[in-house]
Parts: sequence; structure tokens; C-alpha cells
Amino acid sequence: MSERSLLLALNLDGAGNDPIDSATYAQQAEEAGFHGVSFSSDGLLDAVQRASFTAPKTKKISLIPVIDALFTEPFHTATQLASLDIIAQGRAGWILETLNDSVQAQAVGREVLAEEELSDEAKDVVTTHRRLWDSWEDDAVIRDQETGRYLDATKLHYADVEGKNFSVKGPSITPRPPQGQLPIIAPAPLFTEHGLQHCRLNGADVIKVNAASLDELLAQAKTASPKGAVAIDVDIYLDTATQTGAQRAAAQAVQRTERAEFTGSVQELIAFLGQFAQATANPADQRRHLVHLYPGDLKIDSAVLINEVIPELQRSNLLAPIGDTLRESFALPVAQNRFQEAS
Amino acid sequence: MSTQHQLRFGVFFQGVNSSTVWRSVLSGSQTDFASFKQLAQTAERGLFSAFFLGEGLRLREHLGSIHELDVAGRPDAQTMLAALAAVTNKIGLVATQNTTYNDPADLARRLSSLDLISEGRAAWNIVTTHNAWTGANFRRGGYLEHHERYSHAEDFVRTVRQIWEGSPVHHRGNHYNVDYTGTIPASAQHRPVLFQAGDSAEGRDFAARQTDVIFSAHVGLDDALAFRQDINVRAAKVGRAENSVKIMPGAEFIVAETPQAAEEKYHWVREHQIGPQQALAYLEQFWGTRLESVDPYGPLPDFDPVVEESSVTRGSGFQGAKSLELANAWRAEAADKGQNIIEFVRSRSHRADHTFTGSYDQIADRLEQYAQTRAVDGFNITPWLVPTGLDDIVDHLVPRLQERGIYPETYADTLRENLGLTIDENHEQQAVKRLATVQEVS
Repeated sequence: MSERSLLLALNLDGAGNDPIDSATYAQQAEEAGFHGVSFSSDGLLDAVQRASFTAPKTKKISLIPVIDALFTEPFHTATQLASLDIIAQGRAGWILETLNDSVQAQAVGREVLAEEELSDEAKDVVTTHRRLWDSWEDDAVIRDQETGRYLDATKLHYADVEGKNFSVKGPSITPRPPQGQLPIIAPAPLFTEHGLQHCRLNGADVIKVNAASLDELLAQAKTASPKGAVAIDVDIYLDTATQTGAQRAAAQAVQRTERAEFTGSVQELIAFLGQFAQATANPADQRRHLVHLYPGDLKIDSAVLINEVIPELQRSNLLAPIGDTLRESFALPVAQNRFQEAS
Repeated sequence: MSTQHQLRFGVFFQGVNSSTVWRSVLSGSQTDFASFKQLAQTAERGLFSAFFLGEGLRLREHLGSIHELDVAGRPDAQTMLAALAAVTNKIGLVATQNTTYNDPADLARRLSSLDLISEGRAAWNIVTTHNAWTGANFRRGGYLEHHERYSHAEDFVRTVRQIWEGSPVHHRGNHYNVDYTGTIPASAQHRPVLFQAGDSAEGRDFAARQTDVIFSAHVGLDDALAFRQDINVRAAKVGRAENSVKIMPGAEFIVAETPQAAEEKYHWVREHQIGPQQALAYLEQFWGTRLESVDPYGPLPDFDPVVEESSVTRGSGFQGAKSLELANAWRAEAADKGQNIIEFVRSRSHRADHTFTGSYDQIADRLEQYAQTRAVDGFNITPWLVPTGLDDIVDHLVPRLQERGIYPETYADTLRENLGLTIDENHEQQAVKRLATVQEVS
């Protein structure tokens, strides 16, 4: 049994377009002991902006936007994420997705990609982010009175990314973020040999597995965990005093997602999370793994999670300590600057 | 009896420039959230209408390498403004964003997002840089010819406005295609306010057709009055009411209790903005070569520039100029005034007519003239110090302006209201409708 290995993140899309409401949920989640909250852009206000609005209103909890890597400008998303990390003082992460649909593509006048191109494209996009985040060394701002230099140009580096479909020169216009490299959480199918194969310098840090059933999810997590940190996405409908989770899920008029769905009691959820911790346990290292919860109803499920689930998880020693940064919560090593190493 | 015209202030946190003093212990971080928060909250305490952030999408270079001498390195504008929305209540939040290196659908979505997050306080300062050098950072690259700059920008702005109107957009153009329907509802101010700073005839016409506020370069009273007149003529041609396009020149304020104290402060500021290295680098742009061996406390170089066209620090927004002509004129001017290099550059690079230097009372009196003549609707102030550069303005100048009845006493709810702007439905329709014509052509 792996102790203190789980990170818990709560998706806040249920708060809709009310940023204050959303920030209030983030504060409650922080108070309760969640490691992070996530924001996706699906028709709602911009995910990075919602995270950024939440940053000054919170202190410890990580803020993790879900951002598409295909139909966005890597230079823009790299500076946006670095800026979020600056504002949140090291509490930012990125759940990368590849929204390969024609609506996304046509909005920016492009075509959808062939399925087999996705992992290559994701690799180019992630590499761009990694190199831009390192393009300023931590001590590039020198404010040297003697020579009149604010910057030391030898500590600034061109990213010089030549991707298959685009190139980016750099350096970034934003200094290196506090974490150096933000944790990137990316879908398992992108971790191909030529794609995001698990390498903390050029690839993603966390493999996110997905499956239609909870059993399958556990099996995939077990397979993926020897390669590195794992994340799972789960839709949850918890039992309440008046309705079972299954009844609540059945009553949902909305279309079901592709994510695995949990319905049941607090004890059943805790048992499932224990199984996940067991499946991903690796005695050889102290790896941490992320459980990303999409509540069926933010108000109802977050109340049960906060009041009943988290205290029980804390008692049973399943939750990882909350670090000052998201990297620390994941127990990722300090991110060395690739350009500094080379010099 | 007409109501007294009121002036409004904005603050322009440029983040990259030569006017922000960094050589003093008073100078704080250019990057930390705390600096932005302090400056924005100070501005809000002084009832400023707007907090502007600058943007440049490539790090500046000088003679082929990264420019080291000025402040640089800034957070993303909209990400920062979304965080500032959480620590301010009324001040407008203005993001400088480029029409060449963004996708209209993405920018429209992010700006309306900021508008809702801030409850109707967002604005877009439209810039149209279009060089391939900056484009090297983007998927789309630098794909624009100089002459296409404004036609493209207008096409882009119309597309964004159409998305904000909520109707499905199917745009086919020379530079981009868009099929998109916005998903974010309108804010309390209908749509983000539009600012623009272009000053050419084309830029002014563009502003008259598309923007709410011009961030102008015409600060001196006569100059400002002439500019107002010119914009009113251009706006009238597209059916907009007199003074409906607001004008806020960018300006620097160096103010103190007494005229003497202000004068001393002025010299302190200039000395800290332009040191010997900055002075030589300024000339190097026009001489086209390193001037390390030249004495910054001596006369301008007696040898001629090695280039025909100036190679200005890239990303600084200047245009090319004929180097030899310029060198001859400057040598004559400096000799005439008895200025050495550093004195000459200090006098040139921060134009006196863009700076209000004086005691609080003197400046309040001068600003009263701007209010009485309606030359401008306010000023966009670039602080020479971060994050305390607005303190004296807010604590001492603003109350004097309020006593004179030429500055607001309270905030309204939205940025649009705070700037005295209204939505003219006819014009809104016109501004968007022209897109249909463009579509037919392409």
C-alpha cells in the first residue's frame, strides 16, 4: 500500500461563468485540502483567465487550466501559462488536451489533423513551451549599474523550435516562471515514441489515462504507472441523503462524457481511491498520482467531498502533502534549465 | 450652461521601455504580481478610468542581439488583467493585443471573457505590428505587407465585433478564414471598449470608423486641439457625433509640491532614465554601428553613419529614417545648443511636450485649460517608476483637479460609463456591417 501518494483536483466548470462563485469554490476546496482545481474552456470563460482570477484569492491550492494544444498559438499559451505561474507563485499546471474537431479547427481557419499526427504535433507544442520557459535563465535580470544593463543577454536564449507544422524563434517575452517548468498532464495516447514519450525535459510530466469503466481505468493506471506519474479523470455522482449517486446520474439531462463515471457512497469512493493508490504504488519511488474529479453537480458533490471524503482520506493517509508549488506536490525534481546546463 | 468637461486618467504600465527607471532603489519588480496590484490599486484610489498593459511579441534586439539596457520581460496582458480584476473593483482593464499575431475567434473569446470576469471593465488597445521578425514566434508567421496593415487590421476588428454581436461568423479573407459563433454572453458594457494609437492618415480614419478612444501622441495644447478637430472631421464622415471618439494622449507627469522640487525631480528622472550606455545605444540605432569608443560626455560622433537607413532597436516601434541626413541635423543641433551626447539624447528621447513638469498647482492649472477647451478627454500616464510612480499624482494632483471640478469624484460601474462613452447602435451596425462587403469581395 502506497501511503500519501494521491493528489486530488476538483473541476470547477460547474460554477459556470461566475468568476466569484468559482473562486469561492476554489477557496473551499483549498480550505478542505484539495491539491488543485481545474478549469476548462468548453464554451465557458477562458480557462487561464478563470484560473488567474482565482490566484490572488487563494494561497496554497494549484490552479490547472485545461488547454488545447492543436488550434492555439504555442507562443501565446506558453506566456499565458508562465504568467499564471508568476501570479500564483508556482501553483500553475497545464492539463493538455488535443481537441481535434472541425469546430475548433475552422474557428482558426485550419483543418483537423489525422489521428496519427496528433502525438507529433503535441510533442512540437510541448517542446516549444519547455524551451520558451527556459529561454530566460532565472537570473537574467541583473540591473547592473556599472554597465547600464538591465538584462544579461548571455542568460537569454532563442528557443529555435523547428516543428513539423510551425517554428518558434523566441526567447519568450515573459521571464522564466517560478516553477521553471509547469507540470504538464497529457493524455496517454500522445505518449508515443515520437510523441510525448515520458521524459520530463521534453515531454509531459504526467500521463492521463482514460477509460469507459472504473475497472479498466485502474488497469490502465497500473500499466502506465511504472513510466511515471499518472492522472485519471472521473465523473462523480455521490449518494446524498435524498438520492443515490446512480439516481442523480440517471436524472442528468446532459450528454454523458467519455470519462469513467463513479456513482455511489462516500465509503465506495474511498475504497476506489484506495484501489487506485494500490494500482499505482511503486515501492521503488515516491511518485504521486492525480485524481481529477468532475462533479456531476458542483454544489452537491463538492459538499460531500469536502465534509466527508477528504477527512476520511486524510485519516487513512492516502493524500500527498500539499507543496508550495504544484511540482512539489507531485514530488517532481527541481526543473533544471536546459540552456544553463548546456553552458 | 454647459456642464464642466472632465478629464480622466489612465495608467500605462508598458513593461518594456526606456522611460521606466530601474537604476534606483525605489524601483520594484517589473514582473511580480505585487507590483501590478499596487499600481492598479493606487490608480483605483485615484479614480483612474483605466489600467493599460503594453505588449510586444518579440524581445527587443539592438544591432543583432538582445537589447540589454531597458526594462523588459512582462507577463501576458490578459492573464495579468484577469488577476487584477480580482483585486480591484472599478478601474478599467486594457489589454494591448495585436491584430497580426492572433486569431480573431480566439482573441474575441478571450476579450469577452475578460469583460465578464471584470464585470464590464475590459478594453482592447488595438495594435497592428506586422513584421516577419515578430512573426517568427508564431504559427502564422509574418505574413503581412506594410500597405495591407490597416486593411487587414480593420478586417480583423470587424470580425471580432461580429463575433461579439453573437451572430455566426463565416469569414473568407486574404489572410485568414473564420467559422465561429461566440459562446460568451455580452457584459454589462455591451462589448469591450476599443482603443487605438495609430497616427497616420490611414490610422486616424481607421480609428474614426472602429474605435471608441484614441490613445494619441498629441499632448501639447495646440497640437491636441488640432488633432481633436481632425478626428471630429473624420468621424463626422462616417456619421459619428462630435466628440464621440474620445482622445487620451499618452503623457508623463513629473510633479512635486513646488516648482523647484519638480524641476529637481525632472533632472533626477532623466538622469536615471538615460545613462551613458543608453545615450550611446540611442545613437547606435542611427549610426548603425557600436559606438563603444565614443565619449558619451563629448560631442556627437564626427564620423558618418555606416548605414543608409537607421536600424532602430527592433520592437521599439520606430520607423526607418535616412541616417546621414539625421546625423548632420543632429550634430548641428547639439553643437548649436552646446549639448554633449548624453544631454542631447536626454532632450530628444523624452520630448518635453510629452511631459508635464511642475508643482501640483501649476499642473492642475495647465490641465484646466485642456478641460475648458475640450482638447482631450484625459491622459494616459506612463509612470517613470514602478510600483510607486502614481502616488504623488493620486495623493496631490487628483484632489486639486477635483477641487477645480475637472476630474470625477466617483466611479460609475463599467469602463464604458467611466469614459463617458455610449453605445451608438447605428454606428455599431455600420462598423460590423462593412464586413459583409469585404466578404463579397473575397
